[in-house]
Amino acid sequence: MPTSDPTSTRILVYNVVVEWVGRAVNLQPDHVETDRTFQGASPNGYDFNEGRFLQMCDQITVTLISASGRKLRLPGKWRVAHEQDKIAQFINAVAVRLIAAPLNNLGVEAHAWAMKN
Amino acid sequence: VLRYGAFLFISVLAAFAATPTLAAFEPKVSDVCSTASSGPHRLILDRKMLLGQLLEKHAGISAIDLDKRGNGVGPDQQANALLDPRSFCKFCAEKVSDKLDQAHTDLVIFFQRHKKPIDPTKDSIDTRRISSGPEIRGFLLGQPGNDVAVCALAKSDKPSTPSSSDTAKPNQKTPIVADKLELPGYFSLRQNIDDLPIPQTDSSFKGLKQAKVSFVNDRIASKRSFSIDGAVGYTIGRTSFDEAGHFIGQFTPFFAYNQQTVRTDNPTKNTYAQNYSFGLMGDLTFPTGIAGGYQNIKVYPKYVISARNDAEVFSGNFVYTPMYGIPGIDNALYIVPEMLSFKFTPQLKVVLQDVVNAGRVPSLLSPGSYTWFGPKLDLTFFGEGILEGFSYYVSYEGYKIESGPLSRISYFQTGLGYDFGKTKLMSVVLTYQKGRNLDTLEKIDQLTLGLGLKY
Repeated sequence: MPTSDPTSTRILVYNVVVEWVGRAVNLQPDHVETDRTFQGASPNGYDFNEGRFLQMCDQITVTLISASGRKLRLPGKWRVAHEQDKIAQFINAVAVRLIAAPLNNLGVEAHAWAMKN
Repeated sequence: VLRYGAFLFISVLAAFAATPTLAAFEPKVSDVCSTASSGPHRLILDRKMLLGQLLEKHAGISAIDLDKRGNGVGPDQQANALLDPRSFCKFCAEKVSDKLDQAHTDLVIFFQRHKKPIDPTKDSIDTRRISSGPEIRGFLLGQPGNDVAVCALAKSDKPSTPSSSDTAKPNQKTPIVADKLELPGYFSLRQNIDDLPIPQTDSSFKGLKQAKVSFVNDRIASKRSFSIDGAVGYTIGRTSFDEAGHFIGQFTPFFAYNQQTVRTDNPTKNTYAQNYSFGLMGDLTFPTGIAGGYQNIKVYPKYVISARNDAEVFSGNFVYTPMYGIPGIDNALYIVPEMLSFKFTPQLKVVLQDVVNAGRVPSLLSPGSYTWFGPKLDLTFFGEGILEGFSYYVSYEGYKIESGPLSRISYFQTGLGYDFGKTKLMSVVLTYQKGRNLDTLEKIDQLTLGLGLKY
């Protein structure tokens, strides 16, 4: 079932992002500090270089599309605007885009199936 | 003396280590929990207190922001505003919707982080039974059966740790950026070429040197000098050069002019220099095409022409940084969780210089070119928690030189530092350097103990 509730969407994005960051930096997801930035040096950030940030954007997009049934895109200008974000701000920005994204084919089918049942 | 010194040092260290790490939205238990109606000794998460803390104290959204007519808002309206700002905000102040979006996310993060059993040793909240979207929605709207998030105060009498809500600033807006590909750019005029890409909005802009024209008449030394120092550039970026966001960079083509004329009563001591230079500085991050990795290239080619004697020199720096997505290289990696992390940065650096024309009058330049190339390696350890403030780094640069009196040069540096306190006003650094200074080529073998202070 594609996500449509803003709170559930935020929960999904939070879990996908902290799981990705936690795996990258060798921390349990619930130990990832969301008030840190990606690019700042420790202890203010997790010291991502630009390539790592872009790679994260690429990979979480794929995960979120399959989990939400929505055509999420994190385009170039958006990525540049959010490179310096704190993780919590980034999660919010991704969630806002995901809520606004249209359903993909799988999402439409899932939605139709859910309505029928 | 040593024993007391060690005791004092450990005490200071412990005091700094005990300073809490500020979280995004982490209110005190006593500020968001109240006694349940089902029993006087049972604390539960109170939605009114939570909404108040979140919106007013953390996000900086007051009642007048949610209804600028001044009618006031209750917890139900606060919850509706939070859950669906676009529908609610008919009478909201400007840009409140963006703040509500971020507050909504911060609340979700709060619920997700507390999805664990009560810890009796510290103030804690257990939100395991309100962790899904509908459960959080039901809780915020005060639907029956919402007293399911249990709170507990620590058994000891120690005061609660300060929360971020006491000090945190309201969250910044997170605008939805249009997808249209644009190349933002701006002109800049500075004294130094290196300062050209720094925009006026940057915090370091105030400290930059201005381009200048100056005339000095020293009547005691009978010396008059006139000088011009300026560089003009047009910076494109930092921006994405493709719509999908795989090519991100910044480039500044520049032109610089320097002139210095000194006249004295003794004509043999008169000097005159006039140089033009132009070039490009910038960097680009782009995909490797292998396993989703990226790479970055920094370039800084520059061509300098002397108007005085027609000498022409080309120089350039090129730095390649791999960004293949390896933990510990492309981001910090924890060796000991929440205590010690490290990052290793390998780079390949090439330095070129070509004296195209030595000029009409004798000078220190001789025609020819040289090239340096080699690795630049940097390993940094970061401390936090009990090791907060400590850092250790070791770096090495080694270059092979094509032509020239030296065939190889290297520079090694290692240092251990400690910053005192959160504000890092004072630091102690022990540094060891060996090799050659890469600008002057002087030999270096020195140990430095430094005390830094800023206010």
